[in-house]
Amino acid sequence: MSELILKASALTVRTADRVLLYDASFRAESGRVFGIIGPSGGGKSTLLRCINRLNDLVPGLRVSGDIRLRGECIRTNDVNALRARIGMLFQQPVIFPTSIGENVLFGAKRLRSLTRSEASAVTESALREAALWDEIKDRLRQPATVLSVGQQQRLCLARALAVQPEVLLMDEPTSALDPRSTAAIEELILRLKTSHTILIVTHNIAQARRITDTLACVSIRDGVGQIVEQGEREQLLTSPQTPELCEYLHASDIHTGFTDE
Amino acid sequence: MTRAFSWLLSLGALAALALLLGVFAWQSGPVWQHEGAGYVTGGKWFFRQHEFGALPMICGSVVVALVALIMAAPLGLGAAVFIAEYLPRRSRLAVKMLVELLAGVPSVVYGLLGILLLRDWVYETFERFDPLSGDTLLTAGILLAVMVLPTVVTLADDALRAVPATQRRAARALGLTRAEAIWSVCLPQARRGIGAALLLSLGRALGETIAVFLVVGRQDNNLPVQLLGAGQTLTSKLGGSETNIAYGDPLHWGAMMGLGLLLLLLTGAVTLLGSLKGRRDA
Ligand SMILES: Nc1ncnc2c1ncn2[C@@H]1O[C@H](COP(=O)(O)OP(=O)(O)OP(=O)(O)O)[C@@H](O)[C@H]1O
Ligand SMILES: [Mg+2]
Repeated sequence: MSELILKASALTVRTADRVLLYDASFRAESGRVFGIIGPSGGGKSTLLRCINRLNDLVPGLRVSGDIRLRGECIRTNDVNALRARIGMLFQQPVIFPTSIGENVLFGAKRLRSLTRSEASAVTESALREAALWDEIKDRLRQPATVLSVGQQQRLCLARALAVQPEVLLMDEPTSALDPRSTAAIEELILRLKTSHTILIVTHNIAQARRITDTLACVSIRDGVGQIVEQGEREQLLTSPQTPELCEYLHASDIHTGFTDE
Repeated sequence: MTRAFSWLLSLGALAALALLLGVFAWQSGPVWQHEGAGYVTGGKWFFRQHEFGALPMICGSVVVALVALIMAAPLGLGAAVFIAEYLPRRSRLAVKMLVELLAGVPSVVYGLLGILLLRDWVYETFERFDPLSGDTLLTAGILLAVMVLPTVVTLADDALRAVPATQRRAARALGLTRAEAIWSVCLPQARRGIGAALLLSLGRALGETIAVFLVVGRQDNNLPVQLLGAGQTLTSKLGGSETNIAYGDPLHWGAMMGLGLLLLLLTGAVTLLGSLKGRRDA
């Protein structure tokens, strides 16, 4: 049973002289992973960053349109409270140059003051959720920079989860990772989707096939980025309707040598 | 190749520095022989009696520079945070250019402004403490604070801007407010650079001559026990006419060169520390 969590309509992002994303509308439901694919420069990241209003931080970008999180317009709310409800993972894991434990609590500890035992409970459960606890439970005081890139990305996930968000945005979270770390993240996404609404940008069609339920293809049409096609994952991948998606899938097929794995 | 070359350059710079220190040490030889350690611990300086104690000037320099730093640090840091984190890019560049312009104003101009504006202000503001005049250590300290402020601002701004945008973005994406992101992400990561900025400014304050000369009162033999008294610093002593008088007398001249040596060591140490701190940051 899935519930409508996020509904975007007529989302448009402009700079002073260009339209980066035009008239994007989509719906993301709980328990389902919403995938975003499309060629580089199409506007996938721009679209994702509308949802937690990260585009507001970029001077010169103007966002219009309507996004509702559980029916509430995201513009009316306090933006920092909104961002606490929406976690985000970036392409390169961004860890803060402090200890592993401090990193996990970076966002959580500002929402409410934690006692020492609460703090360690939050740390443990977030790290367990990110499947990192067993690897680093004895090293919480060490600098986070000693972790491998794959571990760092899971640490970022733990840090986002510690804030207890409902929605997770992931912008190509595995493109900097090796296959094993990628598999770990994918497994986590499949586990987390029962409790979170997940939107993920990916360049990897095989990955989209493995973890997404709904897909949207963002591509350039008439010189501006748009959602050219969206729907059920299998339907989009097996019988693409638009030339943009056909071309994108074809190009990825050639790129991966017609293999899936 | 480049490595060898950079070693060569470093060696050259080191040799030049050693030569400089060597000349000052050699020239000041007579006073060390005459006074021994008393040269740096003695409080009296009467050149006609051949008595040379540099302590009031050492302390004067340190006190004046510290006063400057204590005032310039919070102001400069606040301004740097504002410029780096709050101003839009374009105004930031404009403001920074202005600030750097201020840093390039000749120091005698600051000195004249000090006489024009600051001296009377200090005298009137602190009248109830009964200062003899407006030429005090405090006046010099305030003037120096104004002078090093642009340096603090521009270097601290550089340090803050060197914090990667991805760090800020990640912090904001977690729901931290801008102020929280500055406090818990930007400032900690820029702290080496900020430390370097403060040390370099301290070095500049210690070495500044003419502006201090014009407002410090140039009162010999006063240990700087109170800021509202006239005082003397290493630089203001060296900048005065006594240096020319001293030249004929090896002992007196040695005493003046000794002050130069102390000044070199003091500013050199602070500046070196500052650039080492800044280097490890990069
Ligand atoms: N702040 C900005 N100002 C101007 N143009 C921008 C800005 N941010 C992004 N763009 C432009 O918007 C377009 C879409 O960028 P976006 O990063 O969303 O693409 P993407 O689909 O995520 O690409 P990739 O797959 O390479 O990550 C690009 O042409 C980019 O140059
Ligand atoms: Mg992108």
